[in-house]
Formats: sequence, C-alpha cells, structure tokens
Amino acid sequence: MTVIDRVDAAATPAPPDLHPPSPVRLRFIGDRGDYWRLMIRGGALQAITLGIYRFWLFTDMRRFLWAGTEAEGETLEYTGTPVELLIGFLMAIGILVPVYALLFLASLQFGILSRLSGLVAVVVLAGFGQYAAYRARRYRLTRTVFRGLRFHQAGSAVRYAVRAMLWWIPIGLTLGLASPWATANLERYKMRNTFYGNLGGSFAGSGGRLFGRGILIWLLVVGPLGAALVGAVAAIDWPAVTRALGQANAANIAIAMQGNDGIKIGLALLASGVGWSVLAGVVLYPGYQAIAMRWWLGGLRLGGAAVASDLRMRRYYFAYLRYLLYVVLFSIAYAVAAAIALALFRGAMPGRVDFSDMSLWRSGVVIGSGIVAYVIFILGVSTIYQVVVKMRLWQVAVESVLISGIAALDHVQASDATSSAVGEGLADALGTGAI
Amino acid sequence: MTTSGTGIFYDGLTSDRRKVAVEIGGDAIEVRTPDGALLARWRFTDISPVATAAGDLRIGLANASVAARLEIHDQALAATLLTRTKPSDRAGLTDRRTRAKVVALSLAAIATLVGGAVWGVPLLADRIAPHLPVALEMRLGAAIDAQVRQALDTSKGGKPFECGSGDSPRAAAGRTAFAKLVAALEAPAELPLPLRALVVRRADVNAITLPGGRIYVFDGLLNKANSIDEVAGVLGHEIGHVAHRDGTKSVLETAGLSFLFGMLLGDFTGGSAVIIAAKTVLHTAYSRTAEAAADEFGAKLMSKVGGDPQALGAILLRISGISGTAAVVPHFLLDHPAAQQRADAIAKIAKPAPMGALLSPPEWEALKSICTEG
Repeated sequence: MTVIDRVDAAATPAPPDLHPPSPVRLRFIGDRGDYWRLMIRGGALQAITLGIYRFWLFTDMRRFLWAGTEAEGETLEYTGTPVELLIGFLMAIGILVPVYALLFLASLQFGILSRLSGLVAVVVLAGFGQYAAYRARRYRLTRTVFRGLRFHQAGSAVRYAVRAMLWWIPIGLTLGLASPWATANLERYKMRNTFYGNLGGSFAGSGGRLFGRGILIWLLVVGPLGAALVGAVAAIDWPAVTRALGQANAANIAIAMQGNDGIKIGLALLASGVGWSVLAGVVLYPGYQAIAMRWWLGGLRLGGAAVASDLRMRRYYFAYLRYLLYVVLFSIAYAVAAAIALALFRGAMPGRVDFSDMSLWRSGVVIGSGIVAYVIFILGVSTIYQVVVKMRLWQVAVESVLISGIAALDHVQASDATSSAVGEGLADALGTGAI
Repeated sequence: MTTSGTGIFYDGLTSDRRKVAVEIGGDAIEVRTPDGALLARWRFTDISPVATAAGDLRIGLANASVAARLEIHDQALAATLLTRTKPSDRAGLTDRRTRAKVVALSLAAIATLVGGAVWGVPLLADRIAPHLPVALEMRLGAAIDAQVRQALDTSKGGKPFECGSGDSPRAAAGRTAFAKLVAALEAPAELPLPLRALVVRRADVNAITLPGGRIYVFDGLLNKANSIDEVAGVLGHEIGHVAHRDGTKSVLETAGLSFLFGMLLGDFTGGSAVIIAAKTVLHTAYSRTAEAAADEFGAKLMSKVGGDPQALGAILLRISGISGTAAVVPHFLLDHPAAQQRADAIAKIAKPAPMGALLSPPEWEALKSICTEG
C-alpha cells in the first residue's frame, strides 16, 4: 500500500481503521549500484583529501541509508550536514589535545601515578569513547526526520558513560558472560531516553534471553579452550618443570623442557585449544551478530508500536561469504593490474631498473608508488566491505522488521530539541563512531 | 506546464498525514487543504529538495526549525517545481560542484598543514623548548633512561652496563680521566642543566644523548678513536644536543607531527601508510637539522677548549667507511646528514688546531681502558 493509496483510503468516507491489524513490514528501497558509486567515489576522494572528505562521505552514506528505509510508503530522512560534522570534529580536537597533553605529563611524574598512567589513559579514553558514543547517538537522532517530525534523545552522556564503564567489572570477572545483561541495561537506558516527537521509547529485550540464545556460541568458542587448559595443567609434570626451571642457563631449560612428554602434550593441547577458539570465533561471529541484531530489534518499542524481527542467520553468512569472494576476485585483479603497471614502468625505463641505485627521485618514486598501491588496495577492500557487508546487513536487518501497533505513530506532537555534533567529532577522533 | 496538483503535507508540528492541493505561483508554492484553506506558502528561494527515493519529490524549508515536509508524487508537477527552486541533487546527496569545492579546499588545507609541518613545527619547537622548565626535561629523561638502559644493556658475565664503576685502581683512573674530559667541555658550554655523562659497555661506535643531559658514550667509540680529540669531538656534539634542548624539542616535534598527521590528516582506511611515511620523512628532516646544529656547537666548543674541532669530522668519515651501508638508504630517510657532508660543514666552521691538550697521554690510556674491568 503506497502513501497515496493510504491517503486516498483516508479521504474516502468512513475507513474504520487506517492500519491493518497485521504488522507492517519495513522495506529497504536503496539501490545497491548507487551505493557502490557513492562508496567508490568517496574512497577515492578520501585518499586524495587525506581523509578530510570523510565528513561528506559519512553524511552521504547516512542520507542514502535513511532514505532507503521505508515504513508504510514513508522513508526516513537524514538532515545532518557535513559542515556540522567537520565543526564537531574540530571542537573535539580542541577537547582531546589538552587531555592527551595531561596524560603525557602524568606519565612523566614519578611514583604511583607514572606506573598507573597507562591504565589511567585507557580508562579516561574509553570513558570519553562511551560519552562520545552517547552524544553521537543524540546527534544522529535529532537529524532523523520521519513524517515531518524529528527524533531526539534525553538523558546524560556522563551518566551513560559511567554506567557503561561500571559494567566492565562484571563482564571482566565473568569472562564476558555478563555482557548480555550489560547490553540490555545500556539499551534500556538509551531507548528510555529516545523520543519520536513527544512519543517516548523503551526497550523490552532481556539480558537473560540474549544469554540463552548466545550461550551455545560462547560455549563452542570458550569451552574447548577451557577444557584444553584444564587438560594441559593435568598433563604437565609440574615437578619436572620446577626442576627444569631450576637450571641456571636458558638453553638447559629448553633442553629439559623438550625432553618431557607431559610438557609436549600440554603445549599441544593448549595450542589446539587456542587454534580452535580463534577458528570458531571467526566462523561463528556472523551468527552471533545475527542473534544479537534480532534480539535487539525485537526489543525496540516506541509508544504503543512494537518491533519484531524474523532475521535469518543465513543471510548474514551469505553477506560475509560474498565479501570473501569479492575480496579474492579483487586481489587477483589487483595483482594482475600491478604486474602490468610494473612491466610498463620497467619498459619505460632505459635499460634495467637498478634498485640499488637509490637516487633521490627514484627512491621517492619507488616508495611513493608503494604507498599509493597499498592505500588503493586497502581502500578497495574496505569499500567492498562497506557495500557487501555493512550495507547488506543494514538491508537485511531493516527487511526483517515487523512493526505492530504502528498507529501509535500517527498523531504524535513535535517536541524539538537539536544538539551539536561535538559528540560525533569525539567519536570520530576516538574511533568509536558508527553509521 | 503543470502548475497545480496534489501532494502530501506534514506540517512539522504533528505526524499527521494530510492530502493537500498544491499550487505553483509566481515566486512561491501554496499548500491548501482540499477545502481551500491555506496551510503554507513557501517561497522558491527558501525551498530545499531533501532526500527521497522512488521518484517522488520531497521538499522542506531550508534553515527552518520545524521539519515541515511536502511530498509530490505527480512527476509533471515535481518537474515544474524543480525548475523554479535552487538546483540540487534530488537525492539530497553531495552534488558535483560541492564535491569539487570540498576537494579544492581540502587540497589547500593539506598544502597549509604540510607547510606547517615543514617549517612551523620545528620553528615552534625551537621557540617553545627553551621556555619549558628544565625539571620537565629531567623527568622525561628519567622515564626514557629506564627504557633505553633495558634496550641497550646486553652485557653478559655479570659486568655492569656502566664502565668504571668498580673499585679497582684502573677503573678509578678511567673514571677520573673521563670526569676531567667532561668537566673541561661542560664549563665553557654554559648548559641550562647539569650533564650526566657515562661510558657504557656497548660495542657500537656511537654515543647518544637522552633528554635531561644524559650522555652515553659507547665503549666501541673509545676503541675506534685515534685520539682524545676525536672522543672529545663526539662528546662536544652530544653536549650540543643538551645545549639546544633537543630532547624536549623532539618531544614537541613528535607531538606536533602527530597532531597534523594522524589527528587532522590521514584518518581514513589505509591512511596509516601515508601517516607513517609523512612522519618519517619530516622527523628525519628535523633530526638532520638538529644534528648539523650539534656539529656546529661541538666544533665551536672544541675551539674554545683548545681541542681539534675537525677531529669529529675525521672520526665520522672513518666510521662511515667501516659500516658503508648508509649508501643504500635514500637521503630523505636518514636522520643524520651524510658523513662527508658533516665533515665538510665542520671544516668550514673551524680551522684545525693542535691536538692533545685535553688529556695527558696516561689519562687518555686510562680512559681507553675504562671498560676492561668492572
């Protein structure tokens, strides 16, 4: 049903209920070809401008993704501007430079502060990162327009950052098992403070449910590693190790260690445990992403409107497999192009190219073209990732959404509040930004 | 030309959808309810087309605090309206002209920042370093010292890293000779902070200066030196680094470079290679300038104390002849100027002078064997 149909239906006499009782599915109508063009051009311009173009590229990406997301014939609209992002970034630098300077000075102090300065720096910068992420979310929400009304976000970024950092303690103590509850708690804070006009949001997802869906993956990744660790501890002949370590000389320690079968078995067990964990982590990562996304979407509420998601895990896997394929193809094409370019270069040089003759211009050309070649390759792979994985996952997530009670969005009042892009700038400078 | 039709209007105050009548007039577009009541009158100059997909046109008011929107699904009406409003990419994306402008301004900004990196950063470091408290440089030196000792101290068999620290008469004689040499050079150098010079057990033919007046003369240098003046020449060069506060300057320069390349420029995927290259080229350039200045300082200091100012050039040439690998590395990646260039520059600064006034022959012998015992 298009907007025109719906309005026509509204205009015709006595429509008992505008909204069909069945849930409304979101659609993604962005054209992938357009996004390829946007990203390839953006990548090239970023390289030329040494990254300055990113504010324009990020803005275009968001405009594209927002405009491609449609509910009942009505698309989202991103109204942020690149210049806002640029100014936010410059202001963030003004905040961060003194912070970096203070952290450096702290590291020069003698005594306890100097020894702790590394830890202090990590905590301070991570706290800034959380603070920035919350403010960046506020910026994006206030720049999101739907049916003539803006979203906005209340709440305190400082409080959010403190809350996020306090959660690291139980997460660390439980080897990550507490993270579903942390995620749920932080999402509740964010959604409780999210508004569409004067319509408040909430988050209904529970940590226990995410834990239940993710525990199998956690066990597959961490379980064998734990078993290997226990097995290794049991297999190693500890008295022998103690005797070996008693040797004065490092070479003798190695010889004593090698002669001991228990140590060999223990080390082999450990190595295979770590190998399994890494492999399982890589293979199961898209699956966990899909589980977490489906859980997150299913918890979103806006007034009486509730989101459900029927996201299929295999669509995430297809996206990653296609990415692998594209990267392999791109690498082959790149290698061929590089070989041709090198052959042409050699052909253009009189005689053989003698790389031992490093005159100024020649070494400059060799090193410079190496850097250019590296940048082109990395940007190519990153562009493929942005389109084939990032945009695809956005599309898959959007298309999985079913909204029930969408009538709640019909007569919402505006409640305007804008915000600056400093949070975005901080997030950008600290590398905690998101689309 | 179609100048009237229908549209969907959101007034920006509620999310209510309204079907409206749209009329394109002389300088504005009028939005009315089906009954004819005026809802909005937007001047063409204030209208900005905003993002919309699927061929529909959506417009809003530029610079308005409310996000009122009018959607026109009639292609002909949309086409008419677009001829009246400011040209703009209908998808709301950055258009070609803006892109060109951004690229041009970015290139200008890059040129400015690179210029700042080439001239501004060393100039600022030169100006700021003398005004920073000496205590700060001492602390920096203490922090770096621990790391440098750990990296350099490869001495085996229980001999300490520092030479001449033992109680034997030989160690004491070496220590006395070295102290005499350092004192002879330190007094006329008029340094802003006290020297802490040591001979250390390292086979490399080298000497290094850390922030805070810490100078390490490597044992290998003493072995390769043909005269006391060559050692004194190297020491004079290192004292030049202390006098110029090169440790503090280097920290300031590194910070300045990281600010320009890393924070302001180079933040994109793959940009790390560009950042590393730019930092390397610029930092080695700063370093070459500092080395040349230290050479000059050392040569002048040698003249003052009655040593041979050209001895430094002589030992530099001999060392570079020994290693001989420097030729493969291009000039712009070297942190020192080439040895021949340095020797030539030193020769221009000062005339050769009679040698041997700094230490007596027995003292020179004692210094040479300072590392033979603990």
